[in-house]
Amino acid sequence: MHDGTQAPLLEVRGLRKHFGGVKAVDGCDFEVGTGEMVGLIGPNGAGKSTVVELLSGLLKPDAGTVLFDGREIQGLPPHRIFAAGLSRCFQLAKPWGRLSVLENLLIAIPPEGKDTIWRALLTPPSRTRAAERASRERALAVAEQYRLHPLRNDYAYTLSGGQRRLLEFARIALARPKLALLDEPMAGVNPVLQVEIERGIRNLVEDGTTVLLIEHNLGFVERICDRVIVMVEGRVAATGSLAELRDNPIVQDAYLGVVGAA
Amino acid sequence: MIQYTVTVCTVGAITAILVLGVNVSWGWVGQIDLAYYAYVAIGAYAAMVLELPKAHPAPTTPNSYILGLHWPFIPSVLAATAVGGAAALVVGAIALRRLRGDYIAIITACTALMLTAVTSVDNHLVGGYIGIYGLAEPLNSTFHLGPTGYSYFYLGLCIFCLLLAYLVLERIYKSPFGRSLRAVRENDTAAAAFGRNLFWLRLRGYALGGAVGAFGGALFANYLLAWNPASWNLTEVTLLIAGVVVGGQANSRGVIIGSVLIESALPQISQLFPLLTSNSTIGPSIASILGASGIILMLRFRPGGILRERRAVDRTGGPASLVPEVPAVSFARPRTATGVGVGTSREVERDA
Repeated sequence: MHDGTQAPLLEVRGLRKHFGGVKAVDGCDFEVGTGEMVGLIGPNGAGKSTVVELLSGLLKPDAGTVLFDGREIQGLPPHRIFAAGLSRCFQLAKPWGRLSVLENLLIAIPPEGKDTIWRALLTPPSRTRAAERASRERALAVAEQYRLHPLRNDYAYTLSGGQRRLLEFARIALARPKLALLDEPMAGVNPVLQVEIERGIRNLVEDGTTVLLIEHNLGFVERICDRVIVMVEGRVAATGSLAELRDNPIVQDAYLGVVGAA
Repeated sequence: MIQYTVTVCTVGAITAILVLGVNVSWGWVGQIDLAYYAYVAIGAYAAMVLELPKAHPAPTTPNSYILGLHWPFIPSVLAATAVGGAAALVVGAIALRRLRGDYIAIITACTALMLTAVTSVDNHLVGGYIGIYGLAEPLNSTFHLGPTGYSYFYLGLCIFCLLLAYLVLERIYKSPFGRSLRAVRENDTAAAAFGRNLFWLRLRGYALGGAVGAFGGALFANYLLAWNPASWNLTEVTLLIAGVVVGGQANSRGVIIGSVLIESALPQISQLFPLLTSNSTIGPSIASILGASGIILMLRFRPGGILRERRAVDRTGGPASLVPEVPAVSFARPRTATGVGVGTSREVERDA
């Protein structure tokens, strides 16, 4: 876990993103240590998902720096950020619908520049087959781990909401990022699959992936996260363990109070 | 009658090559390319100006053309393919800067219109509106075939080229590159989040489509032995896209069938109607109505086309230990035991 001596894997400083007059993220500072399992919580509209979009490169920040693994990655395009070792799952699962589940998994394996026309044409068929077989074996092993093996030949668009979630996880497991950003992985998932997903997150951590998790289910966050970051109105209001933060008046007022009343 | 059939088949084979190129940009990558016929034309012109000897414009015929290198047939066709790909690379670099589909459609349509205008007005580039003509039958200086024999030979050559294009494209389709392109089509945000450079992938797909178009164009020019700007317009592209839609987007065999139906069979059927009604103009109209209705019915009842896109499947049984656990998670809807079965059109609708 994060011992404070080693440089953090992710260091966010003064991150800002405004949409017109809406200050979605307004001077956000936090860090995530290597191997940590950090929860990012806060009321709806606090800017959590925008932070994920900014970190993964789908949005460009107005200001601020993001230091990831010793490199500044703010404003880089998504594929460069993925190559640096940061990958994310989507709040609304985004499978590649008219591709089979197996193909979805194969695409998640980093291509490392091998997906070119020339390679497709000039590599001898035996080498292509061997490489394809190795990728397939890896993909099928992960499919089994996430209980997608029986669905491997189905079009991804036929999957249910929960199965799509599992597919998102399986893709991240195959991408093997240094840091995985998980945006509400439990949203709209039934209790049976929630157990699977919790197991999935633990699998990721065991494989050496650092996890930043956005989640509204505080019981789950408490169970799984070492530390939480509380965001309110685009800024970090508090960090610490959830047990400590329950007594923090800002947090109670902004978030836990709302949840408690609901 | 046989000669007529050979003509229809030769044009059909070339059209099928053209449809394969459209299938790359529209089927694999999912971008509407209205400039496609420009690459066909560029391929045709490039092959002709490479094969023809130097132009000698006379006072009575002021039109001329560039190059005139008197190259042999095969290097000319290969070079024309490369020129078409390079042209698509340039146009694509502009059109694909903004990643929205409508932007691509508008830019490519404008490009096609500008190129037609330029080529028909400028007499020196490719002969103005008269175009270029006077090409010798390719390879016949080697074989010395008669007109009938040569038409068989060229049909065989076109079928061979179609087969070649099909095999090359199938290989690319199944490769990691093809898979990346289809991921970009299905969800570009997710593809980018999994390390795909959207602009570069789309551009390469676009250039590949353009190169296939130019290859077909070069064969077409060598068949007609002449080419002019009037022979390329947006209707041609629309017909090719219709072939892809009817045949099955992203399925190479499907789009070949689609192109044969739309571009070869339909016009032949239209010629039968005048025999039945004694009204000579009714044929093409009925054919158009039938064709258009067919496309609409197709889109309504079988949106995936005649042959659906193929997806990679795993036919190994997999660990048996897993099978009993399946019902615990897989409660979505009943499906076939292997899941290999082709989905119904209803599934596509539900997704849409």
